[in-house]
Amino acid sequence: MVIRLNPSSGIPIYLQIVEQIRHSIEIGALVEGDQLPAIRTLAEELVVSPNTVVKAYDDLEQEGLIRLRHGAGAYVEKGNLAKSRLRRFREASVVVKETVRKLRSMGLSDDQSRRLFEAEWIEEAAAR
Amino acid sequence: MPIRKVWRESRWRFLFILAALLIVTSASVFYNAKAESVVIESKDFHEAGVRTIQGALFLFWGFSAMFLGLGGFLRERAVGSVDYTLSLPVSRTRWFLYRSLNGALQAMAAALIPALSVSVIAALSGGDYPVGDALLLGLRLGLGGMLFYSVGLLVSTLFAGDFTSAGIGIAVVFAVNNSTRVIESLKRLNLQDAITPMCMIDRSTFLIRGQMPWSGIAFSFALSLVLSAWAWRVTIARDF
Amino acid sequence: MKAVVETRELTKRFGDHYALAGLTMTVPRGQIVGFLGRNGSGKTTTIKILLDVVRRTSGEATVLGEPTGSVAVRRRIGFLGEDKRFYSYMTVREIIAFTRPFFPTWRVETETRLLMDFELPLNRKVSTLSKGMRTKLGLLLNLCRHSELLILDEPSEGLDPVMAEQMLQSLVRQAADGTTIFFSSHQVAEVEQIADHVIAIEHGRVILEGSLDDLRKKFRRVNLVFDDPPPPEAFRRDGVDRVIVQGRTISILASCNVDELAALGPLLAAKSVDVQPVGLKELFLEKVKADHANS
Repeated sequence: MVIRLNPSSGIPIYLQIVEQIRHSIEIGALVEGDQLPAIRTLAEELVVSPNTVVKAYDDLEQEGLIRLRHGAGAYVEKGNLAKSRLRRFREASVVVKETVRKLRSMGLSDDQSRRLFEAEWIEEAAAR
Repeated sequence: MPIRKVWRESRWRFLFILAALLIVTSASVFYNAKAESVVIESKDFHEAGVRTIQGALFLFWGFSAMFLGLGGFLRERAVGSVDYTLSLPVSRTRWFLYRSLNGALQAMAAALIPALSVSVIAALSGGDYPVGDALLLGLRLGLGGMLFYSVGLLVSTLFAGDFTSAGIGIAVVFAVNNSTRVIESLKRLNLQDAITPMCMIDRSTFLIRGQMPWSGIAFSFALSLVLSAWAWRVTIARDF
Repeated sequence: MKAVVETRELTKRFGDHYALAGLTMTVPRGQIVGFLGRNGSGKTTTIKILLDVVRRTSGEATVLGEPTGSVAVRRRIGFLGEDKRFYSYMTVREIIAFTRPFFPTWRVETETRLLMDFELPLNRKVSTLSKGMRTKLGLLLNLCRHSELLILDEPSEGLDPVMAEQMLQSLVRQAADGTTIFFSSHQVAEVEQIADHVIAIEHGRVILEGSLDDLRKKFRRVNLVFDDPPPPEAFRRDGVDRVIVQGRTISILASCNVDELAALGPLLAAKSVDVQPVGLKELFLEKVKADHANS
């Protein structure tokens, strides 16, 4: 599992770790039963504060993606896909909200925007 | 151990001073012995011994004792180790105690050992100078002259830089000694006379005859304690 | 005790210059705390006061709950100064042997491990070591203590990037053991990398303080582009730190009400609205500018 962090981006480091581990699980780079490094090991490897790794692992555990076993590291869970899907939807709605706002500020009416989207989807489908 | 560090940092300076004083002492003994232009009998070393301890040794030891007082936190700041030393769980007072006691003992030794060496030199040259006399005169010098050491101690806490401190210390010692010799009203305070009075020595045999000048020694020693206390106060109050 | 270091209106005057002008800060336990500031901002003075090397002019400062100057507390903390010169006449072996007895929590296993990891030559005199080696030695002398708090003044000063990273890694490892790390730095990047909490100072006063993640979540830069920009006053409200006008762009740094500000865009006929996260460097520089503008 390769994690690349950008501490200066303004995005909390623990969220970057969560995102990258979640992504690894979603694309199958990490599967159920795989062991994740212990908190202090990962902290040393990434050279970030152990508290950051704790926060990341806590979040992932909350989402049901990993399970922490005291003293024995962390393991990828059965992968509570339902929660993951929920999260994806949540993120998607943020993207939509921002896109809608942007399009509106560009002066497009909602009807025009809808037509643009439909045109895009049709094109995409045709290309496939 | 803090005290080992203190000793180690002062070791070479002390040994150098001791060696220098031993050389000065032996040179003075032979100079005084030959100056009489008499065949070396028992008596010659008595006079030579007394003149050496009260003259050359007093002079050189006085300045040396002042040098032995130099050092401390200001010097550590100059070499960059003061932060580390002060961050250790040892109080400034404890450091000061170790340093001042270490230096005082060295000053004492620097008076006693050369004084005793007079007896050794005498014996090696087939003459004689009583060890007891040498010991007493050395003791008199060390105790009464601890004031010189305290001047060095005090000056080292007030001024940064060994050369600055040394310079000021020498100037102070010089000024005090000279002014008490020259200025009529201060003559009573002259240290040299107070702690190395000739009245204590028999003029014909040059052996100790009278009492040790305890009052003079005590007064001088008390003064050195005052200066040392001052140095301590400066040390605990100061920013490094 | 939640805070390992606390200062209240700490001031230090040197002649007629105030190195510290009312510094109030709290260093929370169990975290890595970055003490960020420019050269001459008062970082070293603050640390020297915490160690009682320098005496404060007024205000209060405590370390591990005790007033500064407590000898007992110094048995429970570690310190690595900027100079890292130690006793130049001692060998590595000697200075370790000298330091060890002062600290009852010293662990010899750590000493053995670090001697190997750091490749420190036991019989070399400290004066012959490079700055990088002396930093490693300094780290060893501190990490073996396994103290509750470790204070470092510009620990990566003079280190090449590889050594600096190794140094940060040792600190992270120590933090995982529970030691609170308080390190000063003028490099934003390393603070952003390992610190949980940041305290930024300028001219002897705190200009920014908080958990790094909180700051990252709170602050946003909202960029609005107008054909005819409205006056900056239109955007001033709670949470707005600075409004800058650059040609047709109005750039706002805000710590709250970001949505409100973004919504102002279309309301005021903005051509484009852009919301970006803010890194510590930008935040710090803005706070410094604001501090200068105020004084």
